[in-house]
Amino acid sequence: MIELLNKNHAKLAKTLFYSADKYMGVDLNVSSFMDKDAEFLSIAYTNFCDTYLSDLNNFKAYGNVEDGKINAYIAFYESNDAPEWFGTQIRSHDKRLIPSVLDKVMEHNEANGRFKFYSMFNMKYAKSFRRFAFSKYNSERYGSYEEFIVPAKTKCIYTMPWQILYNRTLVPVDTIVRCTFLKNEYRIIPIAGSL
Amino acid sequence: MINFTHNNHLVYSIGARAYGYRNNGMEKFNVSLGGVDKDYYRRSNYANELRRTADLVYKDLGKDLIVFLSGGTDSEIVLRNFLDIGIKPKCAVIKFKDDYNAPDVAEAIAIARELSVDLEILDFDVKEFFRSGEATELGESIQCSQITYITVYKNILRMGQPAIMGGEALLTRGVGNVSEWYYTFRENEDGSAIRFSNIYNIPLVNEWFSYTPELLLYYLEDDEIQKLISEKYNYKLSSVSTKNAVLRRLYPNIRPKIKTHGFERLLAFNFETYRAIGRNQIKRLESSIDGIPLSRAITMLRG
Repeated sequence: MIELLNKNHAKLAKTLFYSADKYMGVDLNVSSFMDKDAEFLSIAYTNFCDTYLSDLNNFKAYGNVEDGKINAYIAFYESNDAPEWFGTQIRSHDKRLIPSVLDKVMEHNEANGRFKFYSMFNMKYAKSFRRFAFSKYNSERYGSYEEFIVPAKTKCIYTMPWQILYNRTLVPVDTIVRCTFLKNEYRIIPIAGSL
Repeated sequence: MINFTHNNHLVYSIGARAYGYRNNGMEKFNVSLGGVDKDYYRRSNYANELRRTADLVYKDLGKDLIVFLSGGTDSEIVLRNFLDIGIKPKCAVIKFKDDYNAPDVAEAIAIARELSVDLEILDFDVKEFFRSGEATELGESIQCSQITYITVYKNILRMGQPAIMGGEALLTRGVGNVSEWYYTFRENEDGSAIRFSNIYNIPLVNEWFSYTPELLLYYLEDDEIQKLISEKYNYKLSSVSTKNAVLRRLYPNIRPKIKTHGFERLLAFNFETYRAIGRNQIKRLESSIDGIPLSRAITMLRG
């Protein structure tokens, strides 16, 4: 079952972090998101709970919850500045579970008038994302283009991606930021005016 | 006039109004620094100047001053500077509900114990502070949207005593339209400390390491800082770790630190509140930087 996650899900998400040996396709035994990568997953888990499971308005996560554990989740940031969202984290025990979670996240954001999203990938694996993460339904409805590349260990010059996608971290591999958008023919254009 | 730095050598202005408020988005933000006394500068050194700073601040703020210990290096150095001149200030640490900053509080307690100073622990519900609208109201009164700062201001108000809240003297590597290192003094954060001090008439030091021109210049001319700013590919975005190394050389006994800013577990909360608190505040829409390009800052200090 796909659910919007909250603080009650914190314990259920734990195994997704502590059973991992890679982050963004990078082997944590080799390199190098922080000085002691042994602590990295523990910090990543705490950070996930503090960010996405703590009743904030803009930071949310949907997960596949079955058999008392979370088997996959997608976390995202809903922008107040533009009709867009940022896909920030994906974790799963089984990548076949991801498309249904992504469908739910897209449905949530479309319902709120957010028809495009940004996500950041290890450049080496960027092409495979769409193949495994998109359902047939949304693969047809959404197009995408590559927005910019950030070489390894450099700071992204754009504020929002730097804050939200990179979490102000110098990533040890080359990364690419992609914009994925709902094609025009599937859009019902929302009214964005106010008093 | 309150001294924010010695003889107020550091001045920021908005639209040419010293220590002013922003009236519209197009006004220039400008920062300037005073020059050193050259003879004195030649004769003294960084370690001596840190102690002189403690003496000057003590004279400016008086015996009731409070040092806010954050659990980080800066505030420990400030405390050690006072102890070096024989003054044992009262200290305080803000303890967030739900233990969001528990490691920092533990560190502050350990520092206070090791250095035998009194420490007041100020319990504080930072999330309720925001949800109640109080943070937004206080932030708007001093044109600040950074809850990490507003939280300290609120606690200074509660205590009603002169305070030292930070060391700063931050250097930042510019990217985009600013391509060199610059001495950082942010309108929204550092400037708000001065506005807060003025409006509530509570003496407050937030620029310990810039308190005198001499102190800042010794720091900027330090070999490690010069190395930091001259190496093209050192993967450094700010001077934080280098400053800690410089200070550790002077004070080898300072406690090892993992802390950066105390909001590690509240990053998303911080991001969200920053935008929410600032929603009705006037944004800067022109291209002034939050500080001074480093080469210019050094020229100003050398006089």
